[in-house]
Amino acid sequence: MRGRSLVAASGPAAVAVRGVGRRFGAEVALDDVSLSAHGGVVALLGPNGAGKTTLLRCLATVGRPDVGTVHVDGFDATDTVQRIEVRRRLGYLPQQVGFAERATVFDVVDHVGILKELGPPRVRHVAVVRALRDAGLVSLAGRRVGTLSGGMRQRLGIAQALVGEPSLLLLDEPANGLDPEERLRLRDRLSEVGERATVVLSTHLTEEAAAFSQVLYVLVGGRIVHAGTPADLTATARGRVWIDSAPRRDVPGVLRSWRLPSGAYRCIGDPPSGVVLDEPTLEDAYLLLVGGCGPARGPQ
Amino acid sequence: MSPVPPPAPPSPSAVPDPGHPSDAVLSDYATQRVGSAVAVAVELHLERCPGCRHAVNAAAAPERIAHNWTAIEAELAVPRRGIVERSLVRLGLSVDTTRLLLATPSLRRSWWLAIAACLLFGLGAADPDRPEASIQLFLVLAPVIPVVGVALAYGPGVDPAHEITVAAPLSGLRVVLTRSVTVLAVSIVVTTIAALALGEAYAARAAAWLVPAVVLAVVCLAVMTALAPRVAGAVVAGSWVVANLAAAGVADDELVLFGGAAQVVTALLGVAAAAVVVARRRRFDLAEVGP
Repeated sequence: MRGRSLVAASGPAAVAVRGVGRRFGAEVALDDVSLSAHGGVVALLGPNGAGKTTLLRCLATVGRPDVGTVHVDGFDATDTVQRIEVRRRLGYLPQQVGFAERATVFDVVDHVGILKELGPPRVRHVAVVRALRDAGLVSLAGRRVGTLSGGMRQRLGIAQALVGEPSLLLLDEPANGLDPEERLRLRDRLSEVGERATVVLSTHLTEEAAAFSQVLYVLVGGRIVHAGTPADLTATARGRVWIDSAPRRDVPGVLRSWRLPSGAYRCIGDPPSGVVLDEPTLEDAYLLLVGGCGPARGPQ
Repeated sequence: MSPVPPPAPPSPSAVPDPGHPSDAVLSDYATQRVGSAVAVAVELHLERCPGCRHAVNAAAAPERIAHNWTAIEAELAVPRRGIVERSLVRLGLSVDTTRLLLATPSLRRSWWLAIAACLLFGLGAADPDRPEASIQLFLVLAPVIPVVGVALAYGPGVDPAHEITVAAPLSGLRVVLTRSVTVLAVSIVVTTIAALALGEAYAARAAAWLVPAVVLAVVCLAVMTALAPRVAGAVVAGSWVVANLAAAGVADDELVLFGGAAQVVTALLGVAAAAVVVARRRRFDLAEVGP
């Protein structure tokens, strides 16, 4: 078995996705998606079924695009030979993952270390402990998977993705099932990892996307409808959010409105004249985009 | 009255002391620049000299100390290995291969129950008064055991961590073969024990399941390059049973597929299936199955 350095020598992986499309029967999962990243934390934000998982699977070399190209550090992720080089750089947490119930926490991560060719046991075990420490699981190393809570299992999934310090970390809904304290720890950890690796994660929660990432790609219906920083996205809603005394759902141009604890209504869309505009949030901007009445703005 | 401070540990002097290694030697030891003989001598001294231990700690790079602590933590975190794993390592298998084969998803309760059911049915049908005819069920069911095991060993739908396995650089063929050999070995051992239980009356035929068992496992692997694992297992096992019924009807001999000529044909089929597995080995590197 070929060993390799436990520390990524080449720094963050360079990810380049160009014009990727993918269909499942009549359903379009991805449509002309382009994305690039080189270091830092990138979030794919979008509603359920927007294509986030399909895009992550293409990056992880476990799904194939019908059209377009996916390259990691210049290696073609769809080529049967070159994808091995892509896999040497990868840490991957799929959306749905399970582990043998009778295996211990240590064994699960160690097994992934073998699959990642992290070297002989003594060297690999150091990498395993580092990953468990990063996920806050060292004290549970000897516990069987079957006895773990949902949050602990999710952290185990994150630990196996982190093992070997990959230069490209792909995490599909990594905060699922984590309590607020665990989310905070994950946020810290990903921020640190983003300094030496490229992290691409998916989420359907705006606050999570803003907390975890420096760059956001918003996917709707398989297309990227916005790319930029969380502040860029928030700015797209400026002048389109106001507080009203009534829901105004029947007024043309009002996309959504919802009742606030004060009894007033927060409205987004094209404001009628005379209303008092409010400072937009990331959620306002996201809802405007997903609702289809956002500013005409393509991927950057 | 203020407490008397403990005596400070003797610090190594800049002037070489005949009782202690020099600062230069301690520094070289801390940065791994001494030979093994000097290292042993320094370590023997360090065991009884707190001052020199302190000097070595100061000279060692913090990252090295952190790495050493992690290595110690790793040794402590490794769970105690089970008896099966220890035995396999003692038999000469590498630790990594042992870990890979013990992670085979088939080695679960449902497969053990399937083995028990197949063997009980087979053994239950055995009748010492007509050994040739009554052994047919045992011989037909025994090769199905490894087929089920192989079909449950690798692939989407049977391994909950399949996407993680595929997204790793280790060859999918190596993983699937390790797991398949594991289930085949377990199947052969268990079925052999069951065959021995049949007794001397069946001795002439009791081993006739072995070649079909190995061949059907390889055929199942070949079919898994085109179909989902469970479907592949069902197709191979079903075809084997139907072929037996059909051949027995045509030849008027229940055991026609276990005769010498049939065994040769079966073995050739296995060779062809192995060629298909090798030619299509990259299919095992994909998360999705299909043509």
